[in-house]
Amino acid sequence: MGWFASWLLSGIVTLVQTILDALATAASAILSLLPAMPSLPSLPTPFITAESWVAWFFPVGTVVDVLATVLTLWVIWFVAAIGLKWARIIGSNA
Amino acid sequence: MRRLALTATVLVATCCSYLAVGASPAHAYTGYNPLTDPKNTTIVDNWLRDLDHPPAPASAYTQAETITGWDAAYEAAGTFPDLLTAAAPIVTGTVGLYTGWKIGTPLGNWLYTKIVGDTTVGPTIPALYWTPSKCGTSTSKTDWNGGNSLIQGTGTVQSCTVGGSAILAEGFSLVLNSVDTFCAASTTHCSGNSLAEGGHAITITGANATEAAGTVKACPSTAQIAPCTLVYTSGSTGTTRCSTDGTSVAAGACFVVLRSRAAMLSAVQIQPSTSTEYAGATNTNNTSYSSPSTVNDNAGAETCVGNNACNASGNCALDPTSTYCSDSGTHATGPWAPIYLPQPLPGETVPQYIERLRARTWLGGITLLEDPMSYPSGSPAMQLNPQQITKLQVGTTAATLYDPLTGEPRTWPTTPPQLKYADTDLTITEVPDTFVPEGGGGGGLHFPTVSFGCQFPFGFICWAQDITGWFNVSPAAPDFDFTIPDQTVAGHTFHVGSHYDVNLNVMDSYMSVWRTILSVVIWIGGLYYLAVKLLGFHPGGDPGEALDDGLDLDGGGV
Repeated sequence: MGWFASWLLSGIVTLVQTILDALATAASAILSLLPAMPSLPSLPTPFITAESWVAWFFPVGTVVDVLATVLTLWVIWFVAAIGLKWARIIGSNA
Repeated sequence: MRRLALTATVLVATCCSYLAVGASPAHAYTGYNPLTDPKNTTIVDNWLRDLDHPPAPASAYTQAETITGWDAAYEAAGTFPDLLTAAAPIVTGTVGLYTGWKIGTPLGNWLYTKIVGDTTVGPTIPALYWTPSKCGTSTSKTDWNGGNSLIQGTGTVQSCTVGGSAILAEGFSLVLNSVDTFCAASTTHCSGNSLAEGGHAITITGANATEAAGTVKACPSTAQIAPCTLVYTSGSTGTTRCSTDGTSVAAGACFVVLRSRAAMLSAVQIQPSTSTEYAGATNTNNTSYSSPSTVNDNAGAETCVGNNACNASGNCALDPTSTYCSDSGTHATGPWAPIYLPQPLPGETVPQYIERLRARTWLGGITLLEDPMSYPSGSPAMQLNPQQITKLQVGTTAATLYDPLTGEPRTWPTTPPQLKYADTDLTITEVPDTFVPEGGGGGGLHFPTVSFGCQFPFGFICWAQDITGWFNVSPAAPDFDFTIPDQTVAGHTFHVGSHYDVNLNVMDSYMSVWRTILSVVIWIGGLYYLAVKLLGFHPGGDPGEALDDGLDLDGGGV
C-alpha cells in the first residue's frame, strides 16, 4: 500500500511538473517574440579610467548602492502600505 | 567645512605627487632596456600581479597588458640576469622555432617568455653567414673557440652543428673574439640592423665568454651586407649557397641567420600562463625551452633553481602556493599532503564537494559521470536531488555511496580513495540534472526559470543594471605618466627632458580606510533618510532650536 501511495504521489508530481514546464516553455516562447532592446553603448576607456580615479577618492559605487536600496525599499513600502491601510480600515470597522 | 575638505584633498594630492615624482622617474612599460635598467621592479611587480591573479583565458588580457616583440624580449632579458651576461637568445635550428625563458623574479615566482610565430624561416631569410675563413671548416667546438664563436649561456661556447644555423635576434649580441674585426672593420659582415646594436660586445677568452666592460659596439649604419638568400641543406655533404650571388658557404659550415626587427617583432611574445602550463616545462635554462604542455602534464625532469623548493630531479611549479615537485619525476608532491576523499555531506552537491577539495589545494582534473539512477523505486537513492553524489572514484579505487541493487546507503569505507598527488584526477558520479526525485525525497516540484531577457519592455531593467554597473568600478589611484620635452630657446637646447610617473598609489592603504569611513557614513545617512520619510522617525530635532529655546533669545528668558 505504501508503494502504491508513493507511486501515485510520484505520478501526480510528475504531472504537475510537466504542466509547469509547459507553461514556462510557452512563456519563454512568447517572450522571445518581443522586440529586442538596443544595448547601451559601452563607455569610453578614458571615462572608465576617470571613474576609477574618482572612486579612489570617493566611494561612488556605495552611493549608487545606497540610492538603489532606498529606492527599492521605498517601492516595497508603498506596496505594503496599500495592504496595511486596508487592514487598518477593516480593523477599525470591525 | 566643504572648502576645508577640498583644500585638504588638494594638499594630499599635491604631496603625493611630489612623493611619487621624487621617488623614482618612471620606467616605461614599453621600450624597456635591460642593459641600462636590469632590475625594473615595476615590471617585475606587474608580472607578479599577473602570476598571482592570472586572467583566464589569456584573451582576458587587455592589449596594454600583452606585450610582444622587443619589449617582451627586453623584459625577458632584464628580469633574468643570465641573459644580460650571456647575450642570448641564440637558438639552434631554423625550423619550428619555439623558444623562451623561464624568468626568475626576486620573490621566487616564475613566468615564461617564448618566441613563437616566427614564420620567416627557411631559404627566404636574408642571411649573414660565416664563411669557412671566419669560423673554420671544422664544426668542433675547439675550432670555433679559435675563431668567431657564438655563445649560448654564461661561459658556454655553443658548438657548431653540421649544416645548422643560429638565429640571432637583433638587439642581442653576436659574440666574437674580436668585435672590431667583425663589426667595425669588416663592414661586409654588418647589416642594416647592426648585429651588436643595443647589445653587448663579448670577447672570448679561452673556452669562456666574458663580457668586455664598456665595449658595446654598434655597427656603422652605413655598413650593409648585400641581401643574401640562404639556401642550405642539412648534413655534412650539403652545399650551402647564397641564392643571390651564388657565393658558396662550405658544407658543414656554420652561419648566422639575422632576423630583421620586423621579423622578431612578430616572433617574440611574453605570455603568462597558468601554473599547470608552467609545470610542463622541461628545462629552466634561459636559452632553450620546450613548450609546456597545456594539459596537466608534469612529466619531464627539470633543474629547479632560485627559491623553488623542488629537488633536482623534480618538476618545478611556479605558483608558490601550489608548488609541487615530482615524485620520481612523474607527480606532484612538495607541500601537498595526500588526502583521503572526505565523505560527502548530507545533501552536498558536486560543486560544493569540489569546492571543499579545492580549498585543500587539490589541482586534479574532474570527470563527471551521470548515474543512470536504476535503483529500486522508493529506495533512498531515488530520493536524491540532482547533482548529489552517488560514487567517487580515483583510479581503480571507488567509493559507492548507494547500493546499486537496493538503493540503500553504504557505509563510507575505512580506506576511501586517496588523492595521492595534487594533480590526481577524480571521477564523480552524480544524479543527473533531469532526474526528478521520488515523492518524499525532498525534491518535489521545482519551478522552471523563465528568462525575461533584455527584450522590450524588460530591457529597461537591463539598462538600469548596466547604468548602475557603470558606477561600480574598482578604485584606482590616479596615475599621470608624462614626459617633459627638451626646450630650445634662442637656438640653445636645454635638456630638461625627463619621464615621470606620478602615481598616488602610495596612498592606497590610507584611501581604503577613508573610503570605508565614507561608506559607513553614507549608509547611515541613507537608512536615516528612509526612517524619517517612511516611518516618521524624528529624533530630537534641530539642536540649534533647542539651544535657542534654552537660552530664550527671543526675550523673557534667562
